[in-house]
Amino acid sequence: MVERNTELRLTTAQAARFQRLALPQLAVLLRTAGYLTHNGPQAEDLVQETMIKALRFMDRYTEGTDIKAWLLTILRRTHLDAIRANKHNAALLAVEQRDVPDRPMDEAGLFAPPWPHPQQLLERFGDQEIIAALQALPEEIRWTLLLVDVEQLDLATAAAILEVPEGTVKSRTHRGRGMLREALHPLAQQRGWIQAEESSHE
Amino acid sequence: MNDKLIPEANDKAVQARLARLGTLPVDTAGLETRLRSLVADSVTTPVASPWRRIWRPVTALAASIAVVVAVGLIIMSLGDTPVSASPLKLAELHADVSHMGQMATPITSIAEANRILAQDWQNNPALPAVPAAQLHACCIHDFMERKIACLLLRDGDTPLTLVVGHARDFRSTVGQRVERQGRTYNLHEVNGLRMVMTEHQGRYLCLMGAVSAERLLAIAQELQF
Repeated sequence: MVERNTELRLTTAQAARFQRLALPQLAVLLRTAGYLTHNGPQAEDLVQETMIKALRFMDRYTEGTDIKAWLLTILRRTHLDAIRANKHNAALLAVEQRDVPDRPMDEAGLFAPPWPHPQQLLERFGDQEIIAALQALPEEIRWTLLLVDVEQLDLATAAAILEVPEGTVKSRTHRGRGMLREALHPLAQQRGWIQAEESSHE
Repeated sequence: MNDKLIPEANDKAVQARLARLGTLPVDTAGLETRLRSLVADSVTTPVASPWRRIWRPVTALAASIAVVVAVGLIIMSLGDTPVSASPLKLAELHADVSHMGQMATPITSIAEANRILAQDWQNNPALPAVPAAQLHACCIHDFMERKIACLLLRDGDTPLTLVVGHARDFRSTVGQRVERQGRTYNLHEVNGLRMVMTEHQGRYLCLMGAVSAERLLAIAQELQF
């Protein structure tokens, strides 16, 4: 999956520009890739491939524009390409995209029961449990939450990266948050942190 | 319980919990090392194969003829019309040169720098000596579609870049004019980066760094041609 460095021919200026602008974003890319793949080596491969593409196309980046958004766009496209290259994953992605249409905001509550004390409850889950719940979400919903809530990008930037309108990002964010709680809900009940009658999930 | 407030509170709680994932530490060391090594390898001239070694003189001759013709055409088309050196692009150049690290050629003297530059640039403009600053590295850049020599210096801990080009290629962009010892300097500032530009003996020079204009002027005045 990783391109060979022998294909790269860089001028010192291109290389210096890459080191100055792109390398400082490595943590953001690696974190996002880690939450996407939940697999350390796979995440590193994904980010390495992303960075090689960034190196190759560094001249297309306009200095002064958002480098993080530019790199995350490359990361997302690289990730989608990798999924599509795997027929099984591509089929799953197609099903996800078909089964999770964009619904209006006011239907967001359909996906998850409201919790009476959500903040305290969410604090009881470990980071890995939250990450695992993120993993269970459909691809586009997961990407939306990673950009908007984890990396805290504004709606316009997230929309540009995801190549969808801002309204879609907004509705996906609300639905995604509900779906994340829904994914965690059985675990909370199983541990006795929440009773069935405490929520309106009937 | 207010039913209308619950979904909003749930939303905000998830948002806050996910925001914490964005603060978790990430170990980038291994990948960063690999990427830096990959970048360094990619700017290194590859070793030629035996077949290429045989053909190299032939291709080099053909390339030389092509270069001579191209240079001739460029000179004919450009004539004596130097471009105005853009302060914004110079600031980007300074940022690039300051971050070159191991990719730039380290130097210990101006004579050495001139020798290195001459290897890749015939008729390169001679670099002046800079007594007040510490020499660090040198390189040649393509700047505004023309060649320019870059000298990375240090004034204490602050990186400075001195660029030297032919006056037939570049001219100073008009800024705040300052006269010192009979020479005219144009001062510019881009996002806290200061630069002084001047021309001397057929050369265009620009010294830049995140120091005061007075400090840059003082160093510029000590340039020995």
